[in-house]
Amino acid sequence: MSETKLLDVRGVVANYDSPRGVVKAVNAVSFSADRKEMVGIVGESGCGKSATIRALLGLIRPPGKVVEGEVLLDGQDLLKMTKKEIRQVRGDKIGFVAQNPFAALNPIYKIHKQFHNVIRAHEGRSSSRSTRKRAVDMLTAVGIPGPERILDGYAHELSGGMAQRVVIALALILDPELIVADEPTTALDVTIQRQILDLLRRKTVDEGRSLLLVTHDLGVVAQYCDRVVVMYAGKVVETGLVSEVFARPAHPYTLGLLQSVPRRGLKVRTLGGRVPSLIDYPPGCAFADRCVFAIDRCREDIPELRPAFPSGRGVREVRCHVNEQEVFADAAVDR
Amino acid sequence: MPLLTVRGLTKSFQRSGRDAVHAVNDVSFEIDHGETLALIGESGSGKSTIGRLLLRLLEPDAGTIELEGTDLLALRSSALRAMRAKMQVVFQEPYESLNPKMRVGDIVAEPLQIHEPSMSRTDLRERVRATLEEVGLDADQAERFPRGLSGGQQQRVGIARALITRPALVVLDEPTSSLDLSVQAQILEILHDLQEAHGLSYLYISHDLSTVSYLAHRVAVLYLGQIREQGPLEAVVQNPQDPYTQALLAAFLDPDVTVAPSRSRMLAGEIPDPTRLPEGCFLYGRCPVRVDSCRSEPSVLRLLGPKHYGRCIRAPLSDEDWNDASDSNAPGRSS
Amino acid sequence: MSDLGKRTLEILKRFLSVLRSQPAIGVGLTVVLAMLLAGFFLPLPYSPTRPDPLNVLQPPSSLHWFGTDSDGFDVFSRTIAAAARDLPLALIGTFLSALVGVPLGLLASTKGPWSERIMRGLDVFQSFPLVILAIAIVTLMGNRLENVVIAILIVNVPRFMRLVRSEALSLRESRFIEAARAVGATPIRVMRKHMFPNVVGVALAQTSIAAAQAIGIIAALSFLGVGVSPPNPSWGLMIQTGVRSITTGDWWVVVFPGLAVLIAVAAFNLVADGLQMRQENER
Repeated sequence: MSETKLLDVRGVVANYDSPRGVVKAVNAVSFSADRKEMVGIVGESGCGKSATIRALLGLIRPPGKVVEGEVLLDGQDLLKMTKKEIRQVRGDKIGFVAQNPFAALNPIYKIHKQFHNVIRAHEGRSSSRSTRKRAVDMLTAVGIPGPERILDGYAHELSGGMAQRVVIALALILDPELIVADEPTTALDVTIQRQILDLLRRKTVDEGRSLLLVTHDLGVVAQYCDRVVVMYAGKVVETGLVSEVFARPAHPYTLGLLQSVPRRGLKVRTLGGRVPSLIDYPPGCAFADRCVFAIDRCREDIPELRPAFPSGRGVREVRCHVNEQEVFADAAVDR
Repeated sequence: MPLLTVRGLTKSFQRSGRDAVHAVNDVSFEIDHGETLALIGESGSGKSTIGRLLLRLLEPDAGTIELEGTDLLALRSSALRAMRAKMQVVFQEPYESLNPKMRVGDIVAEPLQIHEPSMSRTDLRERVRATLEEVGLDADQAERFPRGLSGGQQQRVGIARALITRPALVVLDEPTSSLDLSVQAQILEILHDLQEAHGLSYLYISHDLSTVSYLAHRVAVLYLGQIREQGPLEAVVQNPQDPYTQALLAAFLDPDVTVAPSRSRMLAGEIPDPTRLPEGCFLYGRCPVRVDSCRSEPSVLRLLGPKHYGRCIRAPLSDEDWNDASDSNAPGRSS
Repeated sequence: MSDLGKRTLEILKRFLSVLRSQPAIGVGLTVVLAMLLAGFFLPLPYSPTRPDPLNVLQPPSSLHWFGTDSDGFDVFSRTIAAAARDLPLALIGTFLSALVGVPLGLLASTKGPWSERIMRGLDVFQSFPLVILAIAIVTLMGNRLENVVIAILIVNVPRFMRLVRSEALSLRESRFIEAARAVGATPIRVMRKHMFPNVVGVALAQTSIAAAQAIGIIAALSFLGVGVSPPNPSWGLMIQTGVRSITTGDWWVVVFPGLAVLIAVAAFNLVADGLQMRQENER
């Protein structure tokens, strides 16, 4: 892959000032996303996945700030842009889909007005008729029956699934290259979840965009994403192709997460302990206290990302001192 | 004799100036000693309402509930309160279900103070300590307030409160759905171990197939306040007979990358309005394998296999039925 | 006994932590306490109840720090002494209002026909202008201190009831109240153990607001001549005599008791603000 990636996040550090000290919410996070690719960012609450996407959308507000790193979209660094420029980029080049569609839609405007506002804010004056035409086309494209009727209604008249389709249509109306979706199906029912994920996949792969999908649901990543970024305590602990990472986890945390999925007849393997405080960062690996593989070195020496399973497909990286063969051997015992 | 027998349970909610919501429609089931029955369904399926009706936190419109041979609906308020020692509940929201002004020890002690008022203070303290340890909390956490605990610890307090009177039946209303994966696994394990140790019976309310398959012995699938299919876990999960169950199972996204999701078994549209129940089969409007007689024939549960009941008149349904349907007359294939 | 000691120590600790997080509460309480102590224990240069007819309407001087009024009373002595009467009256009236209003509000939050009836009754009652009603009642029942307390109750009990009821109604929907019912708690227990501790905070904040208003009510009653009867000192009474002198330019008679009212009200409001902030922060 010699050509440049659509999105290249390099060493982003974002801190929050709190009364008890500096919270290192995003700690030297790097990853990339290509066109026609769905990249899943997974981790448990407090792992920094939401802060990471807020950082790359330029949405970190005081007391938080991005102190280091680059977020290159098509070669342009988003972190160097002015507020006005980044507002243009959001919408034009990045479409955002939030977890709760009803919080993303304005309750007091008709749906059409919201499309109109987005188009006008980015493209200047445009007639109500032309924005309406575009909105109808987009709503049809995201599978909404009777788009005319929806446009003249309000958000609260929609079901959760329909509202999320409207949010996706709004995110796509300016034809962005990157879609960022933060837990887009968590608030929806399972039979609706598949419909929305299929839609996002089609809009990404068929139309040559790239999608960042933040989720805590390993099933969503396993069945929909191409690559995965596993985060823990503000850091990326493992990345690679989903088919590789989920079949042969190299980081003990990834392994632990996968083993936490309850299954009939198997005793659930539980990760003891808790995510450490992001203020008093431990001297070594943040996961060491919960890790069954931990060796002395893990408590002294902060591990760096390094290649793992070099024989596999795609680039595979892990942040761990322990040999990945050893971790995987343990996973195999369970099956 | 089963521990709990529910017959013809029905509940609708009257709303002033609007149509009544038919939340639970003629639901019957049993739970044996030491057994877990899972109620699985999406939002609006009436699963949480059934849990509250069983505990008489809500009053049903019709039906009977018998716990250990006692007709719960015939009990006057003081007799009902005495009965509550035998039936307990763990709620979905761990923090909201604990009084923020009470200490953990007082929260856990309260059921005993109510049901065994003559117990001495030292005995009470001893029971609280033992129960806290049983759910994996330190005895000195009794002095803390719920606010200072993690979500997992708060839910353990909720479980300890439900358990201290040694109930026969515990209603678990999505006890892990707001918790992180690794914490969820810990809670499920505790619930499983407690059942083994005390011969508890659970009514496990959930929308999540993976936790259901870990904990349940039998499963009842709910749709629009009605049981669509009911039977032993293996029968329902491995050999589902109702198109709704099949779609629900197909919608589950397996974190195992080697399991390919079913692309064909998807329902069209969304859950219909529970104020106007459809005629005949409730699934008719969304069902890709429907035939004309689905509307005219009365929808009843019939025996499909050992202890396995289902409503679909076309059962057993094969893959071919679904494949045929997706090519031809399906109601507006989901986009 | 040691258990009791432990609890007291803990309450004290919590109180201190409250003061640390909301210093306004401490400032307000200190001012009120200082005014009370001064009212009861500060040695006064002149008797607050015996006038000196030879020295009427003296401007402030080294002899009479706040001057004297048209009857020859020393304004300084009376302003200080009035605190020993007005403040306890306001506090007693307010605490009694809370004592009556909070349980009634909790009861009125239960489902049932009679709680509806209580609220309808309250609607009718509150459709009268309550301060005027209070004045009418004190006028009819006579100029006694108990009646001043009753007047404060009439104005404040309905407020406490409404506030506590609306808090309790939203609490009733909360999961932990449902959990308490599920473990078999009686309705009374639910109210006492689960609802009451969760409305105490707002009730306390309301108590401070009500105390500030009670100061105003007492002043108003005395001003109209139906509260504290002369020659007993009361800020309202002093303002009334002072108003007559203000047209002749003798400002000091009305300004000093007026300032005292202002400071007392501000102190109570500081406490109320602090308590409210704390409530917000806890949510």
